[in-house]
Amino acid sequence: MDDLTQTFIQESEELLTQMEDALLALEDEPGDEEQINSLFRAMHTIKGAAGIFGFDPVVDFTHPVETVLDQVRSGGRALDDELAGLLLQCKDHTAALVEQITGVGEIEATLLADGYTLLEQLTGQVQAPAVAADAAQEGVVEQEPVGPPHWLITLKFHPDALRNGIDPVSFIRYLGNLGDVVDLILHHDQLPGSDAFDPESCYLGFDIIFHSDASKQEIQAVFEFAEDDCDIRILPPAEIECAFEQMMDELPDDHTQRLGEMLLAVGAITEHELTGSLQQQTEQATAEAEAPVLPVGHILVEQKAVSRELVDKALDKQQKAKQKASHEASLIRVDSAKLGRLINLVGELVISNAAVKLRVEEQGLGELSELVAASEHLVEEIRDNALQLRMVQIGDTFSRFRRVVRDVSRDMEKEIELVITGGDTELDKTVVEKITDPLTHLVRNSLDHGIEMPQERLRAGKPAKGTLSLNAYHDSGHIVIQIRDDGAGLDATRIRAKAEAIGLVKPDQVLTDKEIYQLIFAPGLSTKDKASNLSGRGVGMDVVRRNIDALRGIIDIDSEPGTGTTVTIHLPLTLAIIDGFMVSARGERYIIPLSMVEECVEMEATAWQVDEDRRYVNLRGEVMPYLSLAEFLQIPHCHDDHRRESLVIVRIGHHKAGFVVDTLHGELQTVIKPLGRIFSGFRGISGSTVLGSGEVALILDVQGLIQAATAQMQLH
Amino acid sequence: MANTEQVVAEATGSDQYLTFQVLGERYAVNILDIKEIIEVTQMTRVPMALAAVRGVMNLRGNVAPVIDLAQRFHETPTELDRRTVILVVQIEVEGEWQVMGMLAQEVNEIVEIQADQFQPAPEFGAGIRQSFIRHMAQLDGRFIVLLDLARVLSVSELSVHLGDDDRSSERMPAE
Repeated sequence: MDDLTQTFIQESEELLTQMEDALLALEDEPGDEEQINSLFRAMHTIKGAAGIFGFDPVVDFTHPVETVLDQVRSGGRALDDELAGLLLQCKDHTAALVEQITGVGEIEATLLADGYTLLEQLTGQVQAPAVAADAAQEGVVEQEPVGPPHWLITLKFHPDALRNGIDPVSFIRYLGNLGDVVDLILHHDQLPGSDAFDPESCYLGFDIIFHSDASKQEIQAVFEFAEDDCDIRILPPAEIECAFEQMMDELPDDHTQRLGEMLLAVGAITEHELTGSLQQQTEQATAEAEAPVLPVGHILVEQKAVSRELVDKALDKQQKAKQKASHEASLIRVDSAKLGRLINLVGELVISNAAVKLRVEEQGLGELSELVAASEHLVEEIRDNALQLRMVQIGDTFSRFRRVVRDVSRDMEKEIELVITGGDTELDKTVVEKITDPLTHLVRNSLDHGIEMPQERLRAGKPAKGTLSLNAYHDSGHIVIQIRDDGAGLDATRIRAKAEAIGLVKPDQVLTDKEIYQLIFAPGLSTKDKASNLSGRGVGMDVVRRNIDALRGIIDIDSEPGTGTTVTIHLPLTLAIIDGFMVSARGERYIIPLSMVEECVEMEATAWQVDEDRRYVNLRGEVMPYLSLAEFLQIPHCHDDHRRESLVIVRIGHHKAGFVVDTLHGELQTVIKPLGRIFSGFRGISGSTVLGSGEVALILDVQGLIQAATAQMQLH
Repeated sequence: MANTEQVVAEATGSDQYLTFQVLGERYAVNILDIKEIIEVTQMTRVPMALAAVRGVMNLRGNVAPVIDLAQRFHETPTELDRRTVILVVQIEVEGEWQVMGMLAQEVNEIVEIQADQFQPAPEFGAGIRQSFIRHMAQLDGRFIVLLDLARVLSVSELSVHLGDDDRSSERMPAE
C-alpha cells in the first residue's frame, strides 16, 4: 500500500473518531454548534479525500450523509436520538467501506446493501443503487460495437512441414474458431520450377487478415503444433497496439524489468517469441564472438513480433524505471519526528552560540572572537542543511490533482487540461502537508465553479477545452503557488448580493471588485445555489483562508470576468528557523524576517518627501505607505526617545510598506518559537524568539503591518 | 471505593496547597498544578495585549506568557521587588498543554487542606470575581481562596487584544 493511501486511512480514522466523539458529546449537550460542525467536517473531508483516490463507493455513501448533516447544521433538521443513532451507524459503515476499499479494493455486495438501507433510513428516500446503475451503463458504453480488431498473421511453412505431418490448411481452418479470416494472401514465390518440385515439400506462405477478439497468446496457441515447422508472426492490430502502449505506461515503474518481460507483461509478444529471440541472441553470440550482440528488442522487431514503436516505448520506460530505482536507492527514509528533533536542537545551538558571541563581545575577548565567528559560520551551515532535509518538491502534491482533474472533467462532462509548472520548487514538508487541503479546495473550486461547460466556452469564443494551471516559484524567501483557470471569472455582483444576503456587507458600502473577490473567503459564502459533489457548501474558502493564515501566508485572488481567475498564495519556506533583521523602536526590540526586507533608508533624508498627514513617503517616485512601529505597537515612551529614525522597507509579493524604527541592529539567525494560545489572534506579531542574552524578542507579522499601513494611508 | 480514592489522594499529595499573596491577600492552588516557582526574570512586553498579560518570558528556551495576578484580580499591576515570584503552571487548553507563568507578590507556605474543609464560594465579598474561586477553606481562623486556574488563566479571556475595535477598518482587505 502506498503512503498516500496510508495517509487517507489514518485521516479517515481520526475524522471518524472525532465524529463519534462529537455525536456522543451532542448527547450531553444537544445543539452544540462546534460539535455539529465537526460532524459535518468529518463527512465532508472524507468525501473529498475519497474523491481524490477515486474510492467512489465511499463518496457515494458519504455524500448523502453530508447533505443530511448540512441540513442539521443549517437548522433544517433536528438532531434527535434516532438520527444520532443512525449517524453512529453511518460512521461505522464509512469505516467499514474505507477498510474494504483500501484493503481488497472493492466493496462486498452485502456491505453496499447495508449502506443503501442506512441511507434510506437516514434520508427517508429509497436510494436506488446508483452505483450499480452507473456501472451497468458504463458497461454498455464500453461494449460499443466497434467490431473486433484486425490481426495480421504471417505464416511461412518450412519445406519439411508436410513430411512432419503438418497440414497448413487445417490451422487456417481452425483459426475460424477464434474469429473470421477476412482475407488471405498466398505466397508462392518459393515454388521451384516443375523439375525441382518435390510434392512432399511445402513451399507456401500465407498472410492472413484475421478478425478476432482473441489475445495474441490465444492466436499463438492455434499454431502450437506447427511452431517447429513454421515461422509464425502475429502482428497486432493498430487499436491493440495503442492498448499495448497504454498498458506499457501503466506498468508499475517501481523496479526495473527486462525488456522481454515488459513486452510479455502487456501481451505484445508471446512466451514462445521471447524464448525464440533470446535463443537466437545466444546462438549469435556464440557463433560470432567478435560481432556485437544484437539487443533482444532489435531481434524481436526484425522478426516482426512487435512494432519498433512499442519496443522504443518499452526501452524508454525501462530507462525511467532504472533512473527512478537508482534515485530511490540513494534515499533514506527518516521519521519526520527525528528531523523535527534535530531541527529543534539546531535551533538551541543557534541560540546558545549567539549567547557565547554576546559574552565574548561583552568581555572583550578578542582572541576568542575569531573562533566564535568560525563556529557561528558552521552553525549557520548546519542550520541550512538541517532545514534542507525537510525540503520537498511541491511537484508530488501538484501531481495528486491530475486524477482529480481527470475525474471531474469526466463527471461534469467538461474538458479540462491540467498544466503544471515549477513542480521542482522546494518547500518545508510541514508546509506541504498543511497546504494540500487548501489546494484541493481551490482546485476543486476552479474545476467546479471556474471552468465552464464546453458549449458555453465555445459560445464565449474560447477553446472548448479549459485549462487549469498550477504554478510554483520562489520569491524573496517565500514560495508562491498560483492556481489559475481560464474560466468565467468571479461574478462580483453575485458575490456581493450573497454577501449582503448574509449580512456581511451593507448595501450602501462601497467596495472595489478586488475587495468583493476577497469576500469569498468569508464564512458561509458560496454563490453556487446547488451543492454539487465537489464543492459549493461554503465550508471551503474560509477554511482555506484560515489554513493559509496559520502558515503565516497570504492568499490573493484576482479575476477577470470571462477570462479566468488566479489565486496566488505566498507562503514562508519554513516554519522553524529564519534569517531575521532586528530593529528597535523606543527601546523595544523586534525582528523582521530578513527575506521580506527590501532596503533601509534614513527617515530624515530630505530626498524623500514625507507626508506626515497622509502617511506616505515618496521613495524615488514610488508612493510608499508607512507606519511608525512605536505608535502602532503602542510602545511606552522612554528617555532615549529621540533618535535618528530609519525607514525599513518590507515587501510581500507586490505589497510594500515602510516601518519607522529608531535603531537597526542588523541580521541574526532567528529560531521561531510559538507564542502560545493567548496570542494566536494577534495582528502585528507573528511569533517570538529567544535572543543570545536570553531575552525574548517578538517577530513582526509583516503582512498584517503592511495591511495596516496601507489602510492608514487610505484613511487619511 | 471511597477508600481507594483516599489512598490515591494521599499518595499523590493532592491535599497539599501552595499559598501565596497577591496585593496582601492570601490565595492557594493545588501543589500538583505548580510546575515550579522561579524568580522574576526579564519579561518582554507584548504590544496590544491586555494589561493582565505582563509579558512573555524565556523558560529554558521556550517562550511562555506571564499573567499578572494583581492586575487580573484588581486591575493593579504588581510592583516588582525581591520577593516577587513567578509560579509556573501547566494548563490544558483545547487538548494542548500550555505553560504559563503567574506573577505573585510572594509565596508563603505549603498547607494541607482536606476536601471536607472546602466551603462554597460566597456570592460576594471574597474580593475577587466569584468565578475565579474554586473553593473557600478556613485556615488558621481565616478564609483562604482556592483558585480555579482554568478560569483565572482562561485563554479566551486573556487573548482579547486591545485595538481590535478601533483597528477593525484595517482588517479589511488591503488595496
